[in-house]
Amino acid sequence: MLLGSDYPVIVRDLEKVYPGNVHALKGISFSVRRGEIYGLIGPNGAGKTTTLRIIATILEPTRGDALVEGYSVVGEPDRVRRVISYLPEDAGAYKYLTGLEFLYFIAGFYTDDQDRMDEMVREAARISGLGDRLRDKIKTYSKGMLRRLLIAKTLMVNPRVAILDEPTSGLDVINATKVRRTIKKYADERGVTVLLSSHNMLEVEYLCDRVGIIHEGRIIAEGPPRKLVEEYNAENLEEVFTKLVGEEVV
Amino acid sequence: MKTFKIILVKELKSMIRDPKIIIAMIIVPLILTGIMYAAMIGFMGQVAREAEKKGGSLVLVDMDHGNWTGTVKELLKMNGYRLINASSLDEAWRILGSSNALGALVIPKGFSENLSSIKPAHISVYTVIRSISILSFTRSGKVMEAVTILSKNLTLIVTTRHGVPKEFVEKPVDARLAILLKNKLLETRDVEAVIGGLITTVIIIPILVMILSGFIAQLSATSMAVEKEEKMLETLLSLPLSRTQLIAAKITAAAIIGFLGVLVYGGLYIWFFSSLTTVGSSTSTSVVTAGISALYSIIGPYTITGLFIALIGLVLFILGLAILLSLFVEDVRSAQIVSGYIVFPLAILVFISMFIDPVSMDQTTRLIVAAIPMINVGLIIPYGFIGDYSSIIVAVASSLVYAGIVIWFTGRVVSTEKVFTMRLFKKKWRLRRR
Repeated sequence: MLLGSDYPVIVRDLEKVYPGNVHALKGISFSVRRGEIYGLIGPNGAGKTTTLRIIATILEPTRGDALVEGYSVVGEPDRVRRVISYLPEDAGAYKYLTGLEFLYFIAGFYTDDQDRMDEMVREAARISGLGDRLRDKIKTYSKGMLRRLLIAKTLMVNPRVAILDEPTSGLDVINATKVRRTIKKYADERGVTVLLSSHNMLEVEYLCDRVGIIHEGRIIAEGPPRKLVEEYNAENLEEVFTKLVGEEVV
Repeated sequence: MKTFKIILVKELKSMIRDPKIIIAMIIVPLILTGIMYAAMIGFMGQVAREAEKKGGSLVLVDMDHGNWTGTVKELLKMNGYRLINASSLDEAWRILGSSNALGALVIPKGFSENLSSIKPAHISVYTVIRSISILSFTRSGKVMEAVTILSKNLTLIVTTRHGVPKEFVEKPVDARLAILLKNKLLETRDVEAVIGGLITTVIIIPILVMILSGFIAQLSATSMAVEKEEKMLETLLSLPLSRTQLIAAKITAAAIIGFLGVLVYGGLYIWFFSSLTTVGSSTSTSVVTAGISALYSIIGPYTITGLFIALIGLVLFILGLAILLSLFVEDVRSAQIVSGYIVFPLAILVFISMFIDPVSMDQTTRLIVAAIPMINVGLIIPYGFIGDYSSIIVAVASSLVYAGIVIWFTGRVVSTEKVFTMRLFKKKWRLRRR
């Protein structure tokens, strides 16, 4: 039996059927250890985002449940929201606010204490590395700057579980590398549990302690990246994945 | 309360900094009112000035050459008309065609003889319509004005010669004017101003309701859609905040900005209509003020309080409806289109309320009509005027009940995943089916 104190995220037989009888998840189960970075990997449409959205209380599961720090996403979504911080794949920010105003806006939901709020924003400024640009309106930001701001707003609140959906989606190599380093460093320093999704296998190998390979709504393999590579006698996770789904990379 | 404040401040900042809203709330109303003023007030003023302007050129064909034709010419000149003499009708047509004369007066043979024997004399009047425009029609009418002035003056001359006092000829019956407003007698020197004020008041309230509806529907629909367009909805839904507070803050922000917009629009429209009704009028009375004070003296504070509460209900009803519909759309542009789906039918209902006369309905019908959304708010003052407080209570209560139902239903939708999935799934299904 898994204990909530060791596993802040426990997912049990999660199923999601969208209207039109589209089965996005077909009974997913996994758990994330405290302080680890767990990656859900798989191709587009595999069910990664649906899983994260259910854990982030955006969607409701058709069957099954997920516990976050012992709170059920079905029965106690309000409590779940207090212990998570979620970065959607396609997230944006209010373009008519400045970066600082946006960070204070988010921080205000997590604390009433002004000093704590200032501390969060200072932390976000450090994580994002945006410096004085935080005083500019968000509409003037590049895509990379916006993503760094959003990573910063997700991590600054020091969540017990950070949920990051494709954290480097749409970023160039330099910005993607910066973001990966930030996540890794922050998780190591703070011991935050991170659940992320990606279809970039190299990114996952670099970031994650363990991964769950998801395909057509099911987890088809799970374990540390190196162990999976060895187990499937592959050179990297990409090869593991293609071996598992039985498709050749052309 | 803290969460509510955070969202409210963000909403207000975003709205105030969004140039689209500034344009919609300040610049467009100013431009529209300016154009309306230039087109309507300017034009009506021109028409009024044209109508009031004395004189003009007249072509005169004198076929009588009698002793009274000289008097006619003198009288016309005294009243500012410039006379162009013509010897025949053909010449008169030619002059009319080539000049800017208002028209032609043809004095036939026997004109002076008839007047001398105190018999009605005849005169032929030819007017010219040079273009199809109100200004041209106004100018054409001025020829008849000349004949009226002429008739009046000739009557005076003839009657005073026969010993009838001038005052009697000018005003044989002097009326003292008063209006019976319900059971109150309102003495006035200017009945038209008071009635004009009442009409204006009856028109202005529904118009303000329509403007308010349009504003808040647009703002609330937009404020929800902006979360989707700026890709913040997913983030917001995962934050530790109550979704009820989220909706309440959005409704409040939209209501605040909407009321500011109504103040701008409303102020401009009241000024516009009061200007419209006093153009070219000799009275300086503000018809709006006259109308409002006359109405208030009849309907009293209870009706006004009822109207105020019903308006709050109406605002919440529209806000809830707009937010509910905006959940189905993905961007601000679609939200604005969707809000049009609400505003147009509601505006028609308000428009209908302007033409409903409660006196012509029996009590049961009045109560039923009082339960129709939008119309109920528009009818509160007419109901107050006839003292039908039962219908006012139904109108106020129904307004609040509709608001409650819509907000409750919107809250139900927002608290489920539908707030996020509606519409989005349709795209996904298509992608997956491909």
